Amino acid sequence: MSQNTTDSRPDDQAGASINVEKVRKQYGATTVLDDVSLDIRAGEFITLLGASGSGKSTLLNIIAGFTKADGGRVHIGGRDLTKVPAHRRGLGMVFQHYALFPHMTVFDNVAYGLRRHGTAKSAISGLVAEALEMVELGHLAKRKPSELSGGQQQRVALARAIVFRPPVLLMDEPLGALDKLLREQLQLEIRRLHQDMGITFVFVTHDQEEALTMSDRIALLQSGNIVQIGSPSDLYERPNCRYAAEFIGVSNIFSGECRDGVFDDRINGAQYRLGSAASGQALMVRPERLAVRPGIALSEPEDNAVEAVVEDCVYLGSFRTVHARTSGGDLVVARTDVPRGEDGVHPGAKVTLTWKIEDGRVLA
Amino acid sequence: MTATLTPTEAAPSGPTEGRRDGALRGRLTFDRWGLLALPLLVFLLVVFIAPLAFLIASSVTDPTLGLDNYRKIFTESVYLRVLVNTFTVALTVTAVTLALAYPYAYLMTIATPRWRALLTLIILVPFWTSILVRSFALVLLLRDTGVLNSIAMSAGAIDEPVPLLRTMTGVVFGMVQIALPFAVLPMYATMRTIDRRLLDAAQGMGDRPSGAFWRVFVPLSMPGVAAGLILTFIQALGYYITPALLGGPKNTMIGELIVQQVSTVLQFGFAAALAVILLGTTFVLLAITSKFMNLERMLMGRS
Ligand SMILES: Nc1ncnc2c1ncn2[C@@H]1O[C@H](COP(=O)(O)OP(=O)(O)OP(=O)(O)O)[C@@H](O)[C@H]1O
Ligand SMILES: [Mg+2]
Repeated sequence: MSQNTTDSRPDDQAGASINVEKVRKQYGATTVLDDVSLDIRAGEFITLLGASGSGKSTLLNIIAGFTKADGGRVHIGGRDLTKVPAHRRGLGMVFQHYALFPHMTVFDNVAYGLRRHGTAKSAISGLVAEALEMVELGHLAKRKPSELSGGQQQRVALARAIVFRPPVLLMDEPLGALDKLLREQLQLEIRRLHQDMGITFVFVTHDQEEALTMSDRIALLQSGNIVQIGSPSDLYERPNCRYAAEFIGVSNIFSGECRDGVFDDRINGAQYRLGSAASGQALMVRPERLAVRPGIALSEPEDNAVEAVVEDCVYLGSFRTVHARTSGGDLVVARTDVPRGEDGVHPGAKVTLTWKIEDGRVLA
Repeated sequence: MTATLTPTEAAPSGPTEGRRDGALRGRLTFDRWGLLALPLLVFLLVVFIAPLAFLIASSVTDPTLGLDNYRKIFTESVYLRVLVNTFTVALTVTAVTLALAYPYAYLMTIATPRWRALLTLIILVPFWTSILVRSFALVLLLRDTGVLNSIAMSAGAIDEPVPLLRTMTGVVFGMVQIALPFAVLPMYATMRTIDRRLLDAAQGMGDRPSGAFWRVFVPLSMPGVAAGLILTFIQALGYYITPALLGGPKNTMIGELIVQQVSTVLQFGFAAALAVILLGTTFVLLAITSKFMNLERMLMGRS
């Protein structure tokens, strides 16, 4: 049975931790990664999120060993792999454009890694079938990649990366080329795979919604720096900077200054009370935390309020979004329940937007 | 049935007719710009097809009606030796060309744009130089008192000049040099379409870089290799100037024999038969290749 004892496959702990320490990468004069440090726990699903060009792929490729860092170290499973070439790191990798071998069948694509790891011939077909079954492609083993749809190709790429049970699976925008419906389906399947296998997943995407739905933790990158790392709710509820607030979800940001526990919004001529002492030039409120009241309503003592004129109401079935412009010209988005009848919130109406003091967040 | 056409009957036939009509029109008429190809068609007919027909005809009529000319080629050992020699030289040239062209084409794919431009230039310069000039240059290089022998002798590597001219080595040397661009360019065209990330993917699954190269890159470059091989081999079969200048009487190739038969011995029918064999071999090779591979795709460098 266990002929492949050379494989590092501890059964008690399927996943490996990853420690990225002050990794630096430069292309010419541009710094692509600026002393990035990142600790990924064994078995965690972590997402590297960031705009195009922020350095996500570069970081992933340095972890995988395809790209050499200019400085810093990479430890995987406690071992220093900084100088170890990709083919001896034993990690699984899924590429953005699948990178399936066009001259091999699905079976041979999936078996490739097993053959290189010296798995016994007799065991290969069983393991390949099992991996293809995991991605529900058992019936297509004899096809060539060119005879598969995009979604099927992506599943083959997944099967190929997990068949030799790597301790870490790296994925570079694996769903980038798929349409929305397929994306959502594969997102669920990848989540399920993660739960079944218990190995460490490092997932790269520029889609914040995808990051929120899939990850245990998200590392947000901005031009070569990790600006925030935390659980999806950390990043959504408690962004630590304006960039994070704007990148993840929809946010309403008022500019102003903090003074004596009060946020002074001079543009709209309003003052908002703060829950705790803070300093910063921006106050953020999420759309679903805003309440919309017709007319100029006096706010309740625990609420902050700003007046605005409704520009647009969008009915979305289970909820409604209201776009309103403040006197200072800020466009504010509120997401509210759908009222039973006409509630006086319609384009052109004067409204008051209110939120609980603790729902406002001051950002640097 | 009566001849009354009810609407229900007419309806299905309508679109079908329309479609058939469209297909017919597509087949029979062509864009008027297509007429511009007419002069070339006429030209080919006059200077290629017609002489070819005449050639085939004279191979079986001159001097007497029948297959005597062909019988002579395959029974008399002098001529048989020329045939064998022709194929031996062509195969050797093809093998040597492949061994040199593949690494060169690979180098072109991994080079930076500036180096690639230089490498392309180097491979194309001989293209723009007359074969005659190049072959004479090779004579200067290869003869006993030529560049190669002088250098080797003054370096003390050899005591006597090694005969290169008038030998098969010389012929192969000259022909490889001419064939290289024809092999390098289709190989390069195929290689540059190979996604480099496939090699990363192979290494990501635990394959050594050399293993990834053999198992992924080489198989994917095969269409270009096949195109290069076939172009080189077919060309090598028909070379005339190079073997005439660099080869000796013992390495006569079919091209030289044809010229000799036409200009010296004046046996037109026999020369025609030789030419038909050469042409036939070429067609058979192309047919075999196109049976196994998509010739168009090979030559256009798509994979
Ligand atoms: N080989 C290279 N040579 C020069 N610059 C490079 C190279 N690879 C990446 N870069 C630069 O490094 C920066 C980060 O690239 P990277 O591919 O990591 O971005 P990314 O976050 O993955 O973006 P995307 O979402 O578009 O894939 C970019 O500005 C890119 O232009
Ligand atoms: Mg990328």
